[in-house]
Amino acid sequence: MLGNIFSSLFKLTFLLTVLRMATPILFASIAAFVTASAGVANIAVESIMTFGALAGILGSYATGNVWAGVAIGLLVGAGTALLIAFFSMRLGADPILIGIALNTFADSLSIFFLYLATGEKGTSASLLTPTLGSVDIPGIKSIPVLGEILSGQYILTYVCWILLIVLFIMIYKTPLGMRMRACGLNADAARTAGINVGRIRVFSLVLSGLFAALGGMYLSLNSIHLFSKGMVSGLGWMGIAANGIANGSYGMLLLSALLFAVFRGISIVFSQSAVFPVDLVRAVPYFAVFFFLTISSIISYLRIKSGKVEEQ
Amino acid sequence: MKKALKFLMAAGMTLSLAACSNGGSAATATPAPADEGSDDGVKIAVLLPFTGDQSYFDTLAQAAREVDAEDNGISVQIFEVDPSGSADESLWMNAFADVCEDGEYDLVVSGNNTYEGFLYQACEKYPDQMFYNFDYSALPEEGTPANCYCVNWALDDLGYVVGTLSAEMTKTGTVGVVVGMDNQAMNQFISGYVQVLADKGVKYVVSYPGSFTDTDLGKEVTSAMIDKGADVIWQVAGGLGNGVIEACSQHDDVWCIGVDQDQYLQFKDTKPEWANTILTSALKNTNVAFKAVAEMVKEGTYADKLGKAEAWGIALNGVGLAENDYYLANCPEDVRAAVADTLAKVTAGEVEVKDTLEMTDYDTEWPELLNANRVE
Repeated sequence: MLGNIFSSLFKLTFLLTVLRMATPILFASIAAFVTASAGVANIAVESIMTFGALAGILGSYATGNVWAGVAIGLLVGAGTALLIAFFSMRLGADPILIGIALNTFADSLSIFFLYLATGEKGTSASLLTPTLGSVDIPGIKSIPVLGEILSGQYILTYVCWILLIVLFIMIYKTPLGMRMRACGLNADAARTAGINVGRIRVFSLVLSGLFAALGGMYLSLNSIHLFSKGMVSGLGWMGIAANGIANGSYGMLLLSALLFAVFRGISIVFSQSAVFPVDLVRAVPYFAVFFFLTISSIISYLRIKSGKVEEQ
Repeated sequence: MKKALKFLMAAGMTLSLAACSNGGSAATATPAPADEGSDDGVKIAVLLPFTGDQSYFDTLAQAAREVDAEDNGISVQIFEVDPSGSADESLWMNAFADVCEDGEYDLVVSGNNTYEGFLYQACEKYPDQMFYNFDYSALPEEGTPANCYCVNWALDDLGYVVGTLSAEMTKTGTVGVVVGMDNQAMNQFISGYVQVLADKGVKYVVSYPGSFTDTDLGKEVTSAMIDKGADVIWQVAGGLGNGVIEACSQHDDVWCIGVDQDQYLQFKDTKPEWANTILTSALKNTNVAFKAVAEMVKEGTYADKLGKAEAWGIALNGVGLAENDYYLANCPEDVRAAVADTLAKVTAGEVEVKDTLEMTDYDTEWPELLNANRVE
């Protein structure tokens, strides 16, 4: 029995499953990371994903063109991020509270707009919507094993992989990225050095909104091909947790996002097994979050204690 | 001081946003039937948490609207009590007070395992009011309330029929079912299913993703089932089931079986690639029973049903398969004959279908039945 479970974890199909499931978590992770590196907390990733998922579908339906739909989804994501920026920076509210407010009403609001558009409150099934597909890369496709991994993935999975590289270069190799990190490390010092902290933070929030919206659209436009009530189901929170574990390190961010995807994949195997208590299936990825957060805070505590890093 | 003010403002914002989401329902909860004021007709109030789920609650809501639209002296009003599905006691008890206190309605309808507790409280509080629980999963400890008729659905029989169909349709000898949650009420769907499959020596994969909304997980869970060779997959998982249908639609040789309402019809016009993978759907005809009950209230025979709890099975058309054109065209005649034969046998009581709700020792009996021929 246990042998069955383990053997199914070491198959190529499992790896492919994890790669697919990692996409929305990676989008959510970079969405949380990019604002955190500029020193603002965006905990509204989950709700922006929901808005993006719905806006992408409705936009695609309204315009009849899936890329126009993606553009509308991105606009909604950026718009929501600007809303956070307006409330937190112009009106001086706590961004955490704004995030809580957005997350509280995201599901209801998305259902409200779904109802306006379709007259239904469950799914967008009644709308004839163009959606995104997968990409086969001709040359690579025929390579055994590697071909299956690198070719035939969803379009937004490729977009995600490219963005991961672009974002790395932007944050660590460009002056703009350096300014962002400066705002995150010490806003006063950055200001003294002549950096417009507010503008940089708004920029990072907008980027975050775009990434989160892409994560939502991956679910609705690319994977499931419709909007279904509550479909984000905690993936945004996994991104926020990944960012929490990463503690400013990009490598750790990607690693923890991938780990969550692996645990989500493991939960699939468990959900079909007779030995594993199924009540715990859904808890598996969250146990992983808890476990890694604990480890990471122990490590940072020990580092502070040993005097290697100053407490901030 | 400033900080406190900020906090208050944000809290106020959250509240007003939450109020917005309820505001929509308050508008729909104000009924405006054409024949308001006339006392001679039968008036029925239907209290649902929400409508528009394109599934379970909509089946009943649709029946309520149809009965209301007919010119038969019955007016039905639907109240959307709890749009967020929070099962908040004060929301529900206020809603019951609104419809019960004046004695304006001849019948008050509500139910479902999450919300039936409030219905039973109302039964006690308003003893002169007649109630109808359209889908009970547990009765109060002291028995069925004397002013309420409770029905449930012979889901075990339904699962038995779906299992028979799956066994006849599979080419690989392996079938699968995705069940949203692992509990006694949900497992009633699949107790007959696994029983008949094990009897016939067909292997089955059972998956409990533990959610009714996580569609992406539903898709991956189903892909994993298909990898194990399952080629007829039944979904009993609400919104997560959309992911199941999506996964099945990507394989030409995999059939999906829908649930609650005819899902082929739901997707036929706008998502043909989904509709074409749905062989049939396992129906829970809450609409049939509702119409019968409304008729009984009008005829004055409903009082005989009060204090009773009954299961609506195949014989009463309480459960069954959706026999649409697509099913008739794609399901071979001998398979349909076998299914019809099973339907007749179950109706006649010739086969004893196992039912999780009737198991005396669920914790040991159920795993034994479930794992009899299960593939991991």
